[in-house]
Amino acid sequence: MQLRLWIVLLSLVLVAGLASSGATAYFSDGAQNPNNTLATTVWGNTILLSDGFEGEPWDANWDGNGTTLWERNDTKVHSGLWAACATKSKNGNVTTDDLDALSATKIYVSFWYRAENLEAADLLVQLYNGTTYNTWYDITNHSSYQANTWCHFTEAIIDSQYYKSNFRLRFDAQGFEETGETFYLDDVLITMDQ
Amino acid sequence: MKKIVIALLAVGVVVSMVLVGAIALFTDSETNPTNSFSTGTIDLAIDPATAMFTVTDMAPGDVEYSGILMTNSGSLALRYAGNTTADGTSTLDEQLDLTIDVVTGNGTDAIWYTADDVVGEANIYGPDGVLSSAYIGDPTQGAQAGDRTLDESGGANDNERLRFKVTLPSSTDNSYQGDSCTVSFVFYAEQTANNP
Repeated sequence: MQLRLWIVLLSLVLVAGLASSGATAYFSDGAQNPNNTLATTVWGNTILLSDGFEGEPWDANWDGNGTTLWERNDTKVHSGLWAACATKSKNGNVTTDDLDALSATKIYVSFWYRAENLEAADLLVQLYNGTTYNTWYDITNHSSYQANTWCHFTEAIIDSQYYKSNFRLRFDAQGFEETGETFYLDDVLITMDQ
Repeated sequence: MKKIVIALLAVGVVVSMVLVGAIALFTDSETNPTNSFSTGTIDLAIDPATAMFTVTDMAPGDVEYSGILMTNSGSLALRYAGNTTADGTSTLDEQLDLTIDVVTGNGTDAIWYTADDVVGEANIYGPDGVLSSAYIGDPTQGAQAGDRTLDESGGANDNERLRFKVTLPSSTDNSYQGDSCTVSFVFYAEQTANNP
């Protein structure tokens, strides 16, 4: 008789507990901004491209996939004597030679740039996945962007579709249509972890 | 005798029919149709949803800005809290400082998340708190100190912009050279209705 009484009492407690937990449920949601990386060193154990446009010819690392209209300019540089430059009359794109990122587990892209009088979508940073070029950033929307000063772009590529033997980085200035629109590019560094 | 019983039954049936006819009533009915009930949604959206910081080559004294747009995409008002998932293998995230401000304008440079933003509410974390243990409010259920609230989607205050300022202090010593850390910022949202 005592055992039955205990079973009944325990059942009542369980039912009351369930009813209680149901009464305090609330709708909820969550979001996450993941994989923020900060470092005191350059990432990537393998350098795919390091170019400040100081060599001869200046576009030696950028002529394997079509010649560019961009020119080399010594009026505004981030370091050294030269920077690559796009203007209304020297627009179009500049594209790296094929970079072997087949064994990459992450690709890091770093470059310095100075943008003058740009409008949205004037300068696109694009990635090549072996088949197509995909726009990665409209530079005017990148968090580093400030007009008329040197800015440092640093991003990691974690999308494996770009881990190809012919990975390419492209700067597309086809949107330059007005006089005064100018983009200076310097100190490009592309590395990868493998 | 059998005939008498049959006769009595017949009389009973007839009497019953008469009685039934006598209590008949006019009737009518109406239906209020298609009553529906639905539940609202709690949906906290963040932009960017991918890493807002990818920073290399930091040196003592460097300051990096980034920001995130918090939007209530659900149909119910919400409150949210947040914290950092620390890098368990590096101490750099314990050395880095973080300040979080709510910004309401982009200043003179036309860009959000830079030094000259218009700050609506300063230091919802910090100033210069430890990155690895950063928090906004408290994810514990119910209204907690520091929790942020957003109106339902479409409401006057259904979004806000948070500016994150990360600093590598000038006092950082050589032991941090060549170091890196990876952290995530996690946000927790809950309904405010009936949830004091």
